Amino acid sequence: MPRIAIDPITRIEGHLRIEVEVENERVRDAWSSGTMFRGLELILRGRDPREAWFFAQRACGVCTTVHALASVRAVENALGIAVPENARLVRNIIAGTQFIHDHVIHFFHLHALDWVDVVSATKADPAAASRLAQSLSEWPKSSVEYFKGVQDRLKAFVGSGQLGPFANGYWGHPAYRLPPEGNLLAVAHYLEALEWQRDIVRIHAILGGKNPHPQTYAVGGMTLRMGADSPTGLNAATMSNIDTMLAGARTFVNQVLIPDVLYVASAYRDWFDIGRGIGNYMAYGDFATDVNDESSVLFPRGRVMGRDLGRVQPVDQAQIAESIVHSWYEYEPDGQGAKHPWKGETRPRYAGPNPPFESLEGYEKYSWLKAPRYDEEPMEVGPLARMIVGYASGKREIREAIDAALGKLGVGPEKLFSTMGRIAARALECQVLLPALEGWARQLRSNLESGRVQVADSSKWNPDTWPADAQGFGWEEAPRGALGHWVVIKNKRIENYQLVVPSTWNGSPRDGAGRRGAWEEALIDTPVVNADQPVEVLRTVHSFDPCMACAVHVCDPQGGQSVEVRVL
Amino acid sequence: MSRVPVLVLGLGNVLLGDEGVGVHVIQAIAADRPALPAGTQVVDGGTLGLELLPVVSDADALILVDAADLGQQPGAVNVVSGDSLRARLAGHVSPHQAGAGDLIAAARLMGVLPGRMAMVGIQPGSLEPAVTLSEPVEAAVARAVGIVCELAREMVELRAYA
Repeated sequence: MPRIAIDPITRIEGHLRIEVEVENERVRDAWSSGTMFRGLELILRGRDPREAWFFAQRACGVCTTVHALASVRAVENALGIAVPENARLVRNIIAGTQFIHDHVIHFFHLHALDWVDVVSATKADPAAASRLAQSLSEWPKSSVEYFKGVQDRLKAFVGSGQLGPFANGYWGHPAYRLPPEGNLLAVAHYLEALEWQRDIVRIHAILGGKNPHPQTYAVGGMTLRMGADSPTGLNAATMSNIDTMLAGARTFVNQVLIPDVLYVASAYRDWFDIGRGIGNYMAYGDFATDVNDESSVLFPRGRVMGRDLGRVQPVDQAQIAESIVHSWYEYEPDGQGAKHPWKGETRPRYAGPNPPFESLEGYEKYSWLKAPRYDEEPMEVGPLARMIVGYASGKREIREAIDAALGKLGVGPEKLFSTMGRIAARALECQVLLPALEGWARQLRSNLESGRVQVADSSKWNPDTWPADAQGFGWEEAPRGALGHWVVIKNKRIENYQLVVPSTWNGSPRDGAGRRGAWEEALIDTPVVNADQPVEVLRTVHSFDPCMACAVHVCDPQGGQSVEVRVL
Repeated sequence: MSRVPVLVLGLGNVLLGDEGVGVHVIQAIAADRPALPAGTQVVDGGTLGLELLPVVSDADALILVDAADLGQQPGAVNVVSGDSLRARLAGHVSPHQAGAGDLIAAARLMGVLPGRMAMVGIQPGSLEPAVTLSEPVEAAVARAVGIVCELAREMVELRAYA
């Protein structure tokens, strides 16, 4: 039985590795392993809780802002601080912009190449590509000359021999199904998205201060300047810039991202039945639309269990606990029990093979990721979980977006529980978020114009105002899913700090009861036509946006042959 | 947007000890303000990838500062440029190379890659979780700053002749 190891390399949350067993061209079993220890918890212990966010934002290379936000929220929760309206608005805009940026980049630059054959695009007829583009969208860049120009550029790039991001793709694999014109369209939008993303991140430079790592977070609010005539920070001119960039993002999402995702989905309909996964979805909820009412969220909080869209169950942080039975850690007293993050321990004890190794087979403990569970159940988090919880909760904006998209594809909501459902959900939540982002920007501008410029509550800045002991949690919906930071404060210092990040939920190894994590479960039954080029496995793993480049090692246990292919 | 004659971009994860040395070099430059050519921009890139495209595309010359495993003694400082740099960015020498590799590839694809490029690579010692550097790598920071300044001046002079 061919066993395939996918050893993704990432600079972000650490290295991640997938091993699958394939039988009769289907994945029979799967193991997900984090192969790099992350020690942020140890670094934060003993520090001033007000500076935790500054370290936490370095936990992830793509999501600097999201860890900063979860961290300040955890400390604010522990100390009982309610941040002013403007701080909520600014935080919503920073976080929402991050969603749009990450989701567009994910689709066009990290995931599309699993569905789009770049080399095939060199054979496309630019006139046919133009007709295709005009049939899908009003996006103006759709002329024959435009596609001819993109194709010439691509041919020159391929001809140079330095393929860069297109190197070592499985070009020509039978699993690629788009016509050459569809591939050319996607390559054109790959390039346009690169150009577009340079603009959208400038919103963070305005609101986050120093680019590229935001510097304006603070326990109690934000530290950016706000005043109609203020020379820096938020003023009339920078607010106009934000409006322009958001309007541009809305056009790009509606005229490029959504039509392209629907086009890919219609060409790969069988992927609405592949990668179904655990069927339990959890969202912490986020983005209060009325900033003074935390229950008014755009993305509702809840759980949908066993794919039952008829019932949304509550989320209580007390029910979250992490198991380490299959993880390289020690727990008091015997490592068997699961621990709530306030009682969480980070005591590494590696018990795997010496790297480099071929396989983790036979090792009871096989990951640096712990196994978080909600009331002992594994959960999937992320855009699909948010859209499913929102749909089942009857959230109007979410239902409208999903029903319209599924209507165009002629499929029902039960098809969301799939690899293609994850891709569609990610695009649709951009569509849901953009009008809300524009609304928050309008509200911020109106506060600015009427002189309501408070951005922080500093009444509890002085540690003398704090209780001797406190504990709190900061929840957030990050682009990749439900993110939580838990903090225990003792004598004004951090006594314990634990992060339970989206990739830990989704990339979780088995728990004490042997239940698989989300990626592991979603891979079961995924077809693998050619074990040397497991593009199908990558499609399902990438549909979760694990945010990494992958090195794929395909091992044949009989012959001991090993082929290494690097995939972006 | 006005052009930046030289961009000094420090990369690395400051939570993993010497892995973050590129960022420590940037911090040393910010604190000590050594003589750099007028208009030089100094940026802490952390472990970001494509998010750095706006800064890179505004630059005429690029100096990457990064931890790089070149099989030497911890603290060894090397300048990598030309074909050898291109090869290193295609492979992966440091744990976050994927980010820098993606960034450079995307800049090249868009035709905004700075015309001159070099990397100052510092051999790491410890990559264990820590926010401080190991002794030999800490000692290398000042040397790396000196080399960055020299390179930046060379790049500006080369541009003047070009």
